[in-house]
Amino acid sequence: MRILLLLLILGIQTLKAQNTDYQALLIPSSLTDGANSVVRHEHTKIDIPNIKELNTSYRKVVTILNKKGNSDAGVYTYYDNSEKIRKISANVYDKMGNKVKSFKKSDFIDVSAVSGFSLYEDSRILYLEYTPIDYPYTIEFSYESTSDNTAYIPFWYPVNDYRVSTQKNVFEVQYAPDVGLLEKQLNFEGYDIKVDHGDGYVRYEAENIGAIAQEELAPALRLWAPRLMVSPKKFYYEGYMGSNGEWNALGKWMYVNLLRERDELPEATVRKIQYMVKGIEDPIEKAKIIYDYVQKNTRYISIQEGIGGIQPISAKDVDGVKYGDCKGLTNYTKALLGAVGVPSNYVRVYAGPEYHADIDEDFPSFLGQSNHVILNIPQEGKDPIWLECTSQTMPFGFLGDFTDNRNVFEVSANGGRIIKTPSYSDGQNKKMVNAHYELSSSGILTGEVKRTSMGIDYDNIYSIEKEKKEDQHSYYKREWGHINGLEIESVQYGNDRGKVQFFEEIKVKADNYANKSGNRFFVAPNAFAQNTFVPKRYRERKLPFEIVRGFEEEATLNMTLPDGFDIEAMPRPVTMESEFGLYEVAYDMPDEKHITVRRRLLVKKGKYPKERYNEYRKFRQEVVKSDQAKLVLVRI
Amino acid sequence: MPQKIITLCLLFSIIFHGQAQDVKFGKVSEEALRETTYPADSTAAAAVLYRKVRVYYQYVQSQGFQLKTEVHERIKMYKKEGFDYATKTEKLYTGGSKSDKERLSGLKAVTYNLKGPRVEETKLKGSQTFTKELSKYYDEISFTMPNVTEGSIIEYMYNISSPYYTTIDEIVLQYDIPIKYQNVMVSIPEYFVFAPKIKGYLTFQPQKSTKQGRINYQNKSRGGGNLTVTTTYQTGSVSFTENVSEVIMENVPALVQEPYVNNMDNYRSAVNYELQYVKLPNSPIESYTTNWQEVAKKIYDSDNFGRQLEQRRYFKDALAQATQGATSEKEKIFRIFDLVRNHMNWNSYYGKYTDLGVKKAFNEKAGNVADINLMLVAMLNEAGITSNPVLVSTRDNGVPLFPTREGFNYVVASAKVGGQTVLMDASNKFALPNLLPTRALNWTGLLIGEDGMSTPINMQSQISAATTKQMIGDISLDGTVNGQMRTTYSGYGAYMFRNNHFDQEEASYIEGIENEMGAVEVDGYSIEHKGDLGKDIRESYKITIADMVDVIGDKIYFNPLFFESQGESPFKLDERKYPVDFVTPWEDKLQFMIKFPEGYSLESKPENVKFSLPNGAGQFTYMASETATGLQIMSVVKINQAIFPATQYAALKEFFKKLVEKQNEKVVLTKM
Repeated sequence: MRILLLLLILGIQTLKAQNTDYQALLIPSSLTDGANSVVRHEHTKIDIPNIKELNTSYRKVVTILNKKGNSDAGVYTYYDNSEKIRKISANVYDKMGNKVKSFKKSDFIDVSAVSGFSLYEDSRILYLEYTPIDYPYTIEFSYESTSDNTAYIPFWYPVNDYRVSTQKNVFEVQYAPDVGLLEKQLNFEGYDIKVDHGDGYVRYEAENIGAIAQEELAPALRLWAPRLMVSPKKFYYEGYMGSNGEWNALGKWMYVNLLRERDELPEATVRKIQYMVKGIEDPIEKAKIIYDYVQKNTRYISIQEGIGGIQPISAKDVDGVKYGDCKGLTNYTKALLGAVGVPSNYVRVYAGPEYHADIDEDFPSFLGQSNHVILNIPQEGKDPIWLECTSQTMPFGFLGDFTDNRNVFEVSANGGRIIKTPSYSDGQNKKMVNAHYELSSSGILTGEVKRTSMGIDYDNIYSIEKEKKEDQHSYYKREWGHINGLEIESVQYGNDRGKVQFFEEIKVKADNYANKSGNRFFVAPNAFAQNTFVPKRYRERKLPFEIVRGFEEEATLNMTLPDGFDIEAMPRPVTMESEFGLYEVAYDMPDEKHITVRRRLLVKKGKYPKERYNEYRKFRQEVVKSDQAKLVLVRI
Repeated sequence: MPQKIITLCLLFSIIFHGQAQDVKFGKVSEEALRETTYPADSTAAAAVLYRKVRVYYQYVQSQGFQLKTEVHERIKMYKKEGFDYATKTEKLYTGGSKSDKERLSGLKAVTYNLKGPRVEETKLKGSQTFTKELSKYYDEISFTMPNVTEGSIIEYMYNISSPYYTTIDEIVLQYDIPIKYQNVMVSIPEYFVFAPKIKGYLTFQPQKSTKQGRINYQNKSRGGGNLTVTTTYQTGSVSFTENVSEVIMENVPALVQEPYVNNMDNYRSAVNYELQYVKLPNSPIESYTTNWQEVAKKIYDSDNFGRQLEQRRYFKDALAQATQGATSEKEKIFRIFDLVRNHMNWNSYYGKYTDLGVKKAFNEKAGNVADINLMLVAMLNEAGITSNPVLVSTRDNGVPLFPTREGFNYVVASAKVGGQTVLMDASNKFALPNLLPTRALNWTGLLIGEDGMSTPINMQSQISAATTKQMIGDISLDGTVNGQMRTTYSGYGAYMFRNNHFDQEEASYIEGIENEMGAVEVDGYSIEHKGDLGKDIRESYKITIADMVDVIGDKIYFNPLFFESQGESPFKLDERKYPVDFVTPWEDKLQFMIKFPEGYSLESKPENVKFSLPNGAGQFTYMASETATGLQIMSVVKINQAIFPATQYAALKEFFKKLVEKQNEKVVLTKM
């Protein structure tokens, strides 16, 4: 009797659960607080019956709470030549859970899906256009697809995005025993996630995850949100069989199947480059000549078709057309280096300046963890030299913020391994300012500013040299936007690519630099080395924060004062030192007509708990305030 | 209507003309390959050395007339930054049809490089062109040239054939890189009469001529007696006159981008051919557009326009309910507008023609702009109010310079009440009668009467974006300011506030205010009329300003407008060629009452000023007056027009420079 009753209750609950999937009124406030949408039920089922078949069945029910949540509906799916969409449909429900609209396959729009950086890709997208007529509403989307590529299963992210809460999210994989499955759970702690493992079967279920808002300086969502990395152990991809699970073997496989013999070059080209390095012994010097040749003679164009998504076009083809994507250009550079006897390695990386995205060393899988390719030249007893082969302007051996400081996958004839790219330390990302300027008795400022940028600061500025004069001028007008009436009289640049240093020399004039009030002038002695960044204020910070890259700014500014004025007030010198960094500013007066401002700001890279956010904010705020501090002059 | 705009365009015109040159494909000179900079503009990263475009008609017996466009371009690459021009894309209209679509063929493309004394040619291969479907209606063909380095010259030719022979696409005559020579020739059989319309800042004189054309045809006729059927073929030909218009231009400068321009393409030189009528042999004249009246009529006659205004049954009940008890015409208008705005949801598509049709859109509660606004016109008329549709070109569509149907992409509703015209657009949830979404505020619209007669109507808003901030604050001895802030948003100020913040969580909005202002904390926030569309929005909150008053020795210095002073002028460029567009007139008013700390007295304050822009286009007033306990400050910026032609840029720049200077002046207090 007791059992029966229990079943009955369970039965009722299940029934109820099905109905309430669609109606939006009874969602607990723990899920609606701060949310634009609620994932009511997302269910991904992957079935790999054999190594050449991967079936996906997907269903997602989302309640959209407001206008901003519309983009979370996610009613789209990508496909390509190897993947067929067998079924696709969607339904819309009003807040009471009544169905108001149904969409079938023919209602979906089917177009090419070529991402912005590519000239062509063979992927396509099926998507739906729906205009919501009331909020909240619920949208149910489902599709079934089948593919003969089994190399890749999308990772499971039970937290879809910021401001999206999750009521229930299920992920299941069923696989043939001989295919096998690699799994790695990340950041599961503190979340209600049930895991069920069976024979050739795995099921994950997450429930009741509240919405989280995005906050400035917070580590990227993918670094802290729960994630299940999953991949078949054995796979088939575009005609190739392979296996995941071990970096060395995977690297060997990639080398043999995708890279070997792709590095043949036409005889004429080989002769030409061998002639170019004739008489040079030092492999580094040779490599510099080759890198320069590649930069001068090729350009980046991305075309992704079929196996071309992972295999570089051959060096011979790149040699003929003089363009290629990251794979093609890297492989080409590698081929040229090989032809002059300099060995180098093809390296896969997840690129992007926002954060350092590591390839997970514990999860040796073929696809899904990298999106870019770079090259390294190993050196005996030293760190390798790294080359970004898609850039026509990057200095030799310089990576910049696109690929710095992260775990990458190096592929060579000997196999594969995970290594780390170089990082730029706080003091290496440096900007030095040296300026002389004079304030006239009518408040006009004239002078000259010299700046030297290194490390990531070099990366951020060096391309200005190639811009139009108007754009260069407007850059400085923005950079020194606090100077009213700033005019740029001339600019001059120097680029030492060997040392990775960029020099600017700017002559300026500002008719209204002094802020005139009655018979007083208010003037910031620090005219050209102001930092204006203040992190946003949060009443209640929820996420930890990270200073992804440290930097240093050093300035010596010499100001000549106008005749006929007395100094009524001078800005105070400031020294602040904390775990976040260092700030110092001092004002010296060698004589009564000159002020020398010596300023230094060092911000250290680091990760901090949310409790320290306000402290960091205060630090940056004090810097900004001190940089803007004014000198008060009174007309005699 | 268009006169005003044309004058504007001609202000800086330079006449371009040139001599005909014919360049053979493949004949590239060593000299050109050796050139390292473009002589007329050394900053050019690339330049078009030669461009030939031929547009003409071809008669294919099985298909009828086809419109052909032949393109031949030769481009020199001077710098890497110009390599984008080594990639060419052409958008082709498919109309969602498999057979009747535009096709590109005959592509021939070569890159030339100098290799020692020799010219090396690299051909583009067929496999190096790509077709992608942009949407149901458009494909895009793209290719990128092989073997491009600094110094290369690329050359390609192809032709496009189109079954849509009544539409000739705009022919652009100015690129973002210079064009050394171009020759554009359009030949049109006498059967089609187009009016060429020139836009942009460059002027040129098309050379007109005529030549003879001929169509050969074959007729098949079956005939014969009772026992035999014979097929006979007849061949024949028709000759006709072709009207040829040729434009030759030399040294066309690059189009330079400028900030605060509504739509740069408005200023790009181009020719548009708008079909006026078709007169085929043995057929009556089929008239298209000749003037604004014709444009209006053509649009009106479409099933997706005029007919939509006649359907009324579907909304009868809703309308009756909405207008029940309405006493005045004005009240009726407001109620009907509310009905449509609340009932309908915009699907993000513009359009002068309905998408779903008004009836279906009404039932589905969603539709494009025409679905929504034509429904509104119909309802107003049904309720006895004279209402008409008004054709508009949205801001991103550019300015409708000439009478073209394509020039308009949007429609709003108008109503006549008490001799006044009210404009309405119910596609935005925060719009009101006479307060249109900003996308529709573009120059002049065309009001279409029921008889198809049209009248131009000014689409620039008379309503300002107005914000008033009033603060009462005390300065304490440590320099902290505690105050009470009241902000009022009206007109477009309220409209924009609602569009930006209506759905925003209050906490994140307040964080936004705090972050915008700097070292400021906001408390006790309250807001009135956030969703009360007819009313001004009023915000009120306590404010603590930590860092904006300097206490140094026995003096206190501060800017009495605090964070509200404009820190920098938006106009920093030395000159500009194109108009400045503020979208609407606007007004920013600040009224601050500041109490000094105990024991301090005023030493100096900013002087009162008042200055204006020429012709009363704007005014700035600043007043600082001492009170018993402190200071009262008033700063008012009032800009009375949305658009300033480039000729007024210098005045505008000076106005803002002085304004910024004034708003940053300081008050000095001394310890008594």
